[in-house]
Amino acid sequence: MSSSLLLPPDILRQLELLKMRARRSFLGSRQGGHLSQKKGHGIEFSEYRKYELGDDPRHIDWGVYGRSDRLYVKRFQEEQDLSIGILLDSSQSMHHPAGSGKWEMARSLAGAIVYSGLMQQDRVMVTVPGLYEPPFMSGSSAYHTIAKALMALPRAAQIDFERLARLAVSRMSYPGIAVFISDFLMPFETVQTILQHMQSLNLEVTALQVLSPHDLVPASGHEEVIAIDSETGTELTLSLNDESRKEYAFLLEEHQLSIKRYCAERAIPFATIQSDQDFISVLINEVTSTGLLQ
Amino acid sequence: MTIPGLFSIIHPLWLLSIPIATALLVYVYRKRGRGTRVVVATNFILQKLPRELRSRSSFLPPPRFFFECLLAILIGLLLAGIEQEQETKNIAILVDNSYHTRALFSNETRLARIIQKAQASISSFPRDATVTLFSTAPFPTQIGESYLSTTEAWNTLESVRWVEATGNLQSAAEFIAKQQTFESLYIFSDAMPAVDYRPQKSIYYFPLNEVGPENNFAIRELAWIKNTASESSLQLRVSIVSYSNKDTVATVHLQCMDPQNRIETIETKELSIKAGTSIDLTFTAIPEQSKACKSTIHLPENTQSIDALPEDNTRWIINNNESDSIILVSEFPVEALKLDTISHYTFEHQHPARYFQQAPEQQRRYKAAIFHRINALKQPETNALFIAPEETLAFANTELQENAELTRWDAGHPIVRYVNFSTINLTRARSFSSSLELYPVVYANKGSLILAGESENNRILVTGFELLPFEGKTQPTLSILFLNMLKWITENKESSSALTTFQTLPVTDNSSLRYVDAPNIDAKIVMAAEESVQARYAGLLEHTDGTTDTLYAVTFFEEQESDLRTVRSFSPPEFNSQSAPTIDEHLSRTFLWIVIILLLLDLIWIGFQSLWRNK
Repeated sequence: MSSSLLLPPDILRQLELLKMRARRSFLGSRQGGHLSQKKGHGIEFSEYRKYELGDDPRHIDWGVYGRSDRLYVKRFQEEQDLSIGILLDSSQSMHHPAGSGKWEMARSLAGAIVYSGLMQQDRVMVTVPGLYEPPFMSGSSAYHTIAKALMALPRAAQIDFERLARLAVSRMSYPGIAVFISDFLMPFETVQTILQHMQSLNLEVTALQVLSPHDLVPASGHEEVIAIDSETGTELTLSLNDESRKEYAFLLEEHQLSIKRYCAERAIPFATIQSDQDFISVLINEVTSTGLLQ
Repeated sequence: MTIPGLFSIIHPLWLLSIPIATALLVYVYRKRGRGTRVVVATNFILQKLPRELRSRSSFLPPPRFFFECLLAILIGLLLAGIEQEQETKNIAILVDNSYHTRALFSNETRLARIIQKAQASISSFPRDATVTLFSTAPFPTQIGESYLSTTEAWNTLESVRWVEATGNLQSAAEFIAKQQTFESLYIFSDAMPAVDYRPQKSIYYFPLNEVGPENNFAIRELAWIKNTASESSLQLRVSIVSYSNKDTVATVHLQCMDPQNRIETIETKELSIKAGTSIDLTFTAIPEQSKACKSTIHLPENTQSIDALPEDNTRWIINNNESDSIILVSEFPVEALKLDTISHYTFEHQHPARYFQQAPEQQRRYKAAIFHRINALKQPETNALFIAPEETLAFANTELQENAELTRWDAGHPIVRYVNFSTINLTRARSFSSSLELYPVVYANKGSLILAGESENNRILVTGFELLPFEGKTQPTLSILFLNMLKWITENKESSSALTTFQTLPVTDNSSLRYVDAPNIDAKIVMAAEESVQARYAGLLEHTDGTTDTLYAVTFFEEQESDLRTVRSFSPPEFNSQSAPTIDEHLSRTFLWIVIILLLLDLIWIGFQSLWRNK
């Protein structure tokens, strides 16, 4: 399967206009496109410092010297690369119901972040718990490798998502950005544990929730339903009348609010994306609202 | 007025399958759920719905459930053999009144309970139905007029009495079923349905569910013992049989009638008899002048639970000097043909050449003659049984048949009683056509193999195949046939010593007949036809003809009647009535077609559903 199918060229062109932005600066491993805490060569002016023996005379601000008769050297923030770790949920719930486009949307989002990061010479790692755990990659050619792998990913079998996600996050032990893409249709405690783990590793976490219309209104058009859990296979016989649907909407909203509240308290940008939304508009509106892309 | 649209069920037990199948369907549908199966991302939130909101309040099955219920009901009805009864007008009722129905149970005879059942059925008949009543014993007999109203039939049933005779329920049912004047036949008996019982259309069988105690004692035989050492007295053997599961002590009385017609007790004996056994008692010192003797069993606890049938406890015998022997005219002696193994009959052997040299009076001395593999040159002077004659008889033409196949037989004739002809395989036989008034009893594919009839007061039986030597249990079919033949050809010579009930008495009127020991029951003597008098009950009959008095000992003993433990079975015959309703069959066929169509629709439905799901 061609990697170009993950994101069409026009989207890729649009992505080239957007930049990955970290809300704070990190110490990168090498020169890149992001401002580093490290002072040195760069474009962004940082401060003046009195000239000291051994400083490069080229950095002396001769204008200041002319006005004050003192020697000052100009300091710049060094631009370094950024580590971007993406935790992509590929559990069965992301694939059901078939044709909902949930997994495709999540995969495309991951692809967009990967492409954008790689274009900025960042180090990128996409990890799919239980299925795909590659090392950090850099260079624009890595996009094709990652895209191919994402396109060829099978559906995950029944997995212990929390444990595998924590393992995957542990491999991101590098200061940088962590993006968690999931439907978050799991107990709040699980979400909390994973996000907490990410933050404990000094990662700048962004949470992107992808939901399908079916998640909002399950088994629409049916009143008497045997709901089969895509992940566990357990069956639940339901009578989905207006009253119970209202109750479901309320419970879902409560779940969402719990996550949002937690994210707000921990300064974790959170956005909910519907799988049937236009991808460009998702990138421009939802993703940029988290500050991940600008 | 008829009641249209009545339904009957042939196998009612199959109706139970309907609620079972319906319950099964409800279970399956509840288990499977009535709702659509939908795979959702997760039940994580759905599970949090309050139980009262997500659980079903009641079982609201989908349309397919009702469809399958209908299918189950139709299949159940089809298996149960539901039939729509057409208006039934001419109904025959057959009531079993053989001797064993006299057995008491809770102060009621089995017959009384059979009659009650029949009356209950009559009450449910359409009011304009006509009923013809039949009884089984001693032979299929119509009771009262034909085509009685239901009320008349109900009342007439009250007059049905048990008789001291054996009735063949099976052949009686077949006899009535052959008559094409009835639309349905109702049969009431205490016989159990046969193992291979197959309900027949328009034949309804009502057995008694409970028959009560089955214990009985009887006198099987009363016989003179000849050639005694004492010249001045006679000896008498009494065979007593217990058809009981209890050991008991009994008293046996012997009474005899002297020349002055006084009945005096000769001897009384006590004996203990074990359950299910028989015992022979010998009474000696019987005065030689005795005209007749009677033996009676008395049980200390003479209750119905020990002895259900009292009549077979008494038996009379006449004292006469006739020979009880049967003469065997054959090249082979009695022992070679194993005739000496047959009890109750005495056989004497004579070479054919010597026999035919005898004077007619000498020949008439014997009860019967068996002509074994020889040709009778002239008509015999006594009852005769011709077994496998070599060539043409004086009174019958014969034709050799190889591998003869028995095709049909007269089931009502006594000689074929209890004989299963399907087990007989004949490699060599002769078929006959007789010039005498002999009629065929058993037919093969090329002619009659057994002829029977009477000529000049002698009974004649001709069988075209070999019956001897008598092998007893090793060849049960031929043995039973041979014993039946012996009984039949000797019956008419027992006129003075062992007449059986319903056997024609050698008298022309019944006005001067009386039971010696029960003078008030003359009414029990019946005139069956003109110049034919039959005794209905066992006892000692006296016929006064001007100057001479003749005694007849009428007896009745049939093991199958006295042994109440015998399992009697019945299987309804094919009903040939042309006027039998035909709508029944149509209904079954209609049901069958509906079931097949519904089954196909259900299969299509299932296929369509799975296709739709795959999409």
